[in-house]
Amino acid sequence: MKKPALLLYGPAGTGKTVAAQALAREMNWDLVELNASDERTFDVIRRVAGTAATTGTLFEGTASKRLVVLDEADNVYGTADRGGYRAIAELLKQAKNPIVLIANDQYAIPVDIRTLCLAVNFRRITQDSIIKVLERICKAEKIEAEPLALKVIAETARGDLRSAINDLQAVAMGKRRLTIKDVVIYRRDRGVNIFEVLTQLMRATSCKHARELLWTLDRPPDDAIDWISENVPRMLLSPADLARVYEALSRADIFLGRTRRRQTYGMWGYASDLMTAGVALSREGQLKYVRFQVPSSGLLYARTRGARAVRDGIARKIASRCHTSSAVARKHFLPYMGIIFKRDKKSATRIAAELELGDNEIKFLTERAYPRPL
Amino acid sequence: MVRMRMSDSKLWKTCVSAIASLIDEAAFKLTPEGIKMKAMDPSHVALVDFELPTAAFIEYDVKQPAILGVDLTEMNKIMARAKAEDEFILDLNEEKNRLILTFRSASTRRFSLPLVDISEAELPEPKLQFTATADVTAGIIQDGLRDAEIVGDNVKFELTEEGFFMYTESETGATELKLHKGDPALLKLNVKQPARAMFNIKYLIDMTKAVGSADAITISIGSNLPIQLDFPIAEGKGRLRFLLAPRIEAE
Repeated sequence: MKKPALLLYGPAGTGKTVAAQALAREMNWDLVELNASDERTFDVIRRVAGTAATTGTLFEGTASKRLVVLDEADNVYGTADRGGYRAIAELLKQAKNPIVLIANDQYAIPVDIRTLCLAVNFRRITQDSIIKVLERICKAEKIEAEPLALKVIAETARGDLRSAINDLQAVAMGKRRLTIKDVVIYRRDRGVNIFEVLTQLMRATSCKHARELLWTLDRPPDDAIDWISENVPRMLLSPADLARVYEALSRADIFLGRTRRRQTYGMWGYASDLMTAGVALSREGQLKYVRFQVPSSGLLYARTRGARAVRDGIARKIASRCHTSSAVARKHFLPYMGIIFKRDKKSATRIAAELELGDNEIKFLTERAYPRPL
Repeated sequence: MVRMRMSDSKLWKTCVSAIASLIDEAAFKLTPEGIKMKAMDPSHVALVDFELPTAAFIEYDVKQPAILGVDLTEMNKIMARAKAEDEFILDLNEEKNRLILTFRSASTRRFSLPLVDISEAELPEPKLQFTATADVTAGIIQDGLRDAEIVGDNVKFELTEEGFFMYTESETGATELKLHKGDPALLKLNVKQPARAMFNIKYLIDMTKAVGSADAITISIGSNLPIQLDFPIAEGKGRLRFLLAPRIEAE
């Protein structure tokens, strides 16, 4: 069956929109684009795209065609009531002109619309192709670029040609010569994605490169170490590598602890070197591909936030009655109270009345599996 | 310095109201010869071509060519406040990048409107070979369109040696409007070759709602070509022209 529309999908910066524009130019079609910046409600899609899709052009009437492009079709306004998508479905059924939908994620588009489209996948662009484009631009702009500099830009872009070109423009603006140094400094300022850093960290071959990766990341080392220790060990295949990596991480952690206790931020440098260069160069064996995860320590903190608040509230009440600090109350009193509340209802009632405990606090003491540490 | 004064606000009011129903923003080009504006609606289906020469003003002072980007929705709101007897003055405050609209009769009322930045895409000039034209009293067309709206979304225009015809058809029913040669409302008829084409009613209603029902509209069509509507403004010295692309009929 002939489909009324084309669905171009794939990651950002792989040429989807440009391909639609090139098609219109090649075929000499008038082009109407509806972007995410336009307010795309049911009414707007129906009025603008609907009319465009069923009407001839101003220049040749019905003798020529118009291409209607709905960019970012996976991000249509009014997803809650599907109003925008209802309009698109209607549009595809009535269209007399060619239509192109563009999306990053084809599965974000409702299936009844997807089945009306001929789907074409745009893939990430290979590093070599990106480098070739960058070289061509440099040549046209008369910029002498170090091959390594272009390679690093292409690597960072991870298949996104547009971001590679934007980066090149940002680093090379007003320069006749582009060096690797310019690129590294720029990336530090920009703040890079943690996932990119993790990927590159384990492939770093020099101490210098590994350390510089952390600089590009806009995170303090005590945050970075959570990400590294969550993800890096899972990438390793050899147990010997794993042992060495953990050795480096634990030494880094010792320095982080000293920094915290003594407020001597000079020690951050040692911690950073150990968690980057120390980890990266500990590896001898193969790496495997893993899906990166958010540090579980952070998740644990987030999940237990409510419970910790209740616990600390009880500790403060104990502290004020027993003339002690809430830290001591939490550490030494709470576990026993947990046992009392589970085993001795009578005493529990008396203590609850004495401390004026609330319902959620009593519940916490009776139900939580104290004295398991939080 | 930019200053334009008109003896009444009616002309500017009707033009802005008709244009604003199609497009939200427009770039008015000012030259020592007059004002020009040409723009397409967002779906590239309709085109407005507006021209007002200096003769339409009682005072017109533009030394340097300038482009004024105007939010038409806002300007239309302001113009709706004008009274028929108001003298109308447009000034440009270049320092603040604002347009000053003044209505002067018993009192002097002043509105200021910030200019907007409009990226100016040069519109290609449609070269259309219309084969039939007719001058029709605006009220007749307005009525015909309102009739047609009851039945459907699209209306078919037909011009032959016999006269001017409008047809609408849908599952809900059908309407037609006929003006035969010699009918008083059909002021002029010139058919080189009979022509017919179908158009969106809503657009046509928007385009024609601003004109007085006694005025004449010049309609030009060609088979499956856009329709061109010309309204007489400023005693024929100016131009308010709309083009609307034809519907693609179901095979």
